[in-house]
Amino acid sequence: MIPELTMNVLTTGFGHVGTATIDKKSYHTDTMGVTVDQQNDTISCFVKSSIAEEFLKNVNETKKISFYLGLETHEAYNFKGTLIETYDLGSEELSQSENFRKSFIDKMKSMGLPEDGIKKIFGNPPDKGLKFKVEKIFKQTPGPEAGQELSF
Amino acid sequence: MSDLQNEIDAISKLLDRKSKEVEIIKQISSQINKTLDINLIAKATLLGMDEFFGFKHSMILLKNENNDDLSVLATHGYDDQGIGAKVKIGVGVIGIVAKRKKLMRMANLGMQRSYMQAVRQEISQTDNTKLQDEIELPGLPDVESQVAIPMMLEDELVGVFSVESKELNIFDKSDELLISILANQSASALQNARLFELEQKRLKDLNKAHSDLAYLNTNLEKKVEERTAELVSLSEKLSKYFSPQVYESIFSGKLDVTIQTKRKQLTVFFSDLQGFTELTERLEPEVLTQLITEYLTEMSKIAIKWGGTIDKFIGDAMLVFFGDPNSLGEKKDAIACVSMAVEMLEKLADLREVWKDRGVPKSLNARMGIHSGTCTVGNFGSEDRLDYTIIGRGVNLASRLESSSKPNRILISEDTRTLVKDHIISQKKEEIYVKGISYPVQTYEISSLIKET
Amino acid sequence: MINEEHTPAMQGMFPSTITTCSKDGEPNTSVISQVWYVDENHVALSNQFFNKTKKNVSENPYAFATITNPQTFDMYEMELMFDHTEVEGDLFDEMEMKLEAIASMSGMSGIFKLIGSDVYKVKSINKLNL
Repeated sequence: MIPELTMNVLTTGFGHVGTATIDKKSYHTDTMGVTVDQQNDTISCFVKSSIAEEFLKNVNETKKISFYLGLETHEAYNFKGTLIETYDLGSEELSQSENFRKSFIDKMKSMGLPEDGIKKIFGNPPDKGLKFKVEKIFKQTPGPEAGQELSF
Repeated sequence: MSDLQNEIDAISKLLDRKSKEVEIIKQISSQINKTLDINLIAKATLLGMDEFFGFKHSMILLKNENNDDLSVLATHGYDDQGIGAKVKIGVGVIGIVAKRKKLMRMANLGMQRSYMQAVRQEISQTDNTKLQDEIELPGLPDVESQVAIPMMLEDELVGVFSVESKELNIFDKSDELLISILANQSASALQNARLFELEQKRLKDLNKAHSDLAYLNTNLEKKVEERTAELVSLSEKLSKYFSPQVYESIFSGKLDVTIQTKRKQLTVFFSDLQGFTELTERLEPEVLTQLITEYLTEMSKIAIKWGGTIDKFIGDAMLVFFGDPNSLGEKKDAIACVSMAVEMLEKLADLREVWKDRGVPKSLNARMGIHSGTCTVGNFGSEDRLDYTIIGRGVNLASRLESSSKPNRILISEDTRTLVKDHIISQKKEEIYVKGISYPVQTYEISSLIKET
Repeated sequence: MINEEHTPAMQGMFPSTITTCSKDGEPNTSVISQVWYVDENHVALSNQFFNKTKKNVSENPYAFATITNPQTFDMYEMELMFDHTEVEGDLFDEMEMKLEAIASMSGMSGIFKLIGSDVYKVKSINKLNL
């Protein structure tokens, strides 16, 4: 079961999902929302395919996933695992994404960032979902325990 | 055609900018170089930076002489002036720029700090022994961007110029060079002003030192006068303990105050008062003292008159010698001694009358002995306590002559008689034996001096 | 390759995402505070604590990084190849100064030490069509 203490970061954090190619190069893209199946240890993250072509091509090939999320407090985790499927997002997930992005934009605004700037990056909705099985979780919060593996 | 036009436009834009830069340097430089007032220079620099670069919040810090920290000299655009606030070299953006003497641009300070806070939090939960206190530095409380520029004069750090902004904006890299030039100009002007201030203070200190010295000098003269008077008074007191000739010799430097003796021809005179010891039993101490003082004073006067060196008084006894430290020659010394002895007897006769009137129960009579011969004279004694005196067989003989003499009579030796026979009338007396002299000594008694015609 | 369009994104205003791959082909995605401009063909990352990114590039040099321009909010993706580490010189000094400045303010002098400046060759840089 995906640990409770990681849930806050999973659902409200700013995420990036990365993969490897067959020749061991790498790609990543930003995520715009997340759903979690704690019991089954699966995470689905949402991406915008128009800016993640190379990434999507390769993740489908190698199925390798490294999913990093962090809060502005610098609390962060890395979820590593294997891709189960990529799929088109449904309306529920799209509205989840919208809520997430809205609150994220508000948070950035309150930190003094200009609205039109943030909207450029987060304004447009994602279209694809990536569901993967979590195999390893690492603490990434900067400090002496960074890199520690969590048991779950 | 339009490409060429674009190029021309770009070049003329660059030219415009360059001329503007030169203009800026000229203007700010002239402002800061026309004064030696440190505060005016700082203010002019900060105002100039605002006018030409739009730096709304800036400050100048000067490195302190301790080389350990900087102090805020002037600020621009801050509510709390913060003048005098200190920044330790090596701490924070300003402190590090001061330490490394290199320009530093720091953007998104907020995020950087919060990152550090997060790490600090993590560390403090495990091992916080290495953590130091967090520092509050002068500046904007919610600063987001900062550029700190070292103000250099040759290789020396004079201070740091710091610009802050609440916005997340970037400082143009092309402005960096210009700002550095101005910062160094300011450094030069500030250093000059500082040196000038230092010179002014030194001048003030020097003037004070001069007046202090003048005061000391006048006082010194006075002090020397006072001291000299003290010394004169002291030496006068001391002189009473020496025979005048010895005293004279010591103070003139002719006589060295070390253990030093020589053998010389001297005429030695001994005298004492017969019956004196009895009186000491019978008279009151005060009366006795007065008596002896009178006697010795009168006798001393006479000795000094005739040039004798009064060696010592032992109670009522006297030892005087002639021939040292000054000598008139063997013969003349002996004649002077004999003349002195005769006058002393005459004076004693007068004193006897005075004392009788006073009610002194016993008459005091003197016995005198004179001998001329070689004696050892000089400073005798230990290193700490010297006595200028005479010793030798001759001294013993004079002493024996005195004790053999009749009251109110002068007994002299053959040697003395040989020297003075043309000046005295004398009578041959018995021979006496003296310890240390193998042969008997012929003695003569003086009847009177031959009157000089 | 890198020009004035990109350099504002290399001030450390916004954090950057970086992904590397181990020799076994396992990806690692992470976030760093700044990608430093070295010259038009090179960038550098600061290495304070030993981390997975450094471990990966020492066995497999390829890296992928994203930077954001804080003025325009444009995002750029860079393909990088780890080249070498510097432990002294201008670049190292610049990185160290910054680290020292922040660390000293947060009372952590001596805890944050720059181990080295890792220099990467830039293979490509592309603007994202957001």
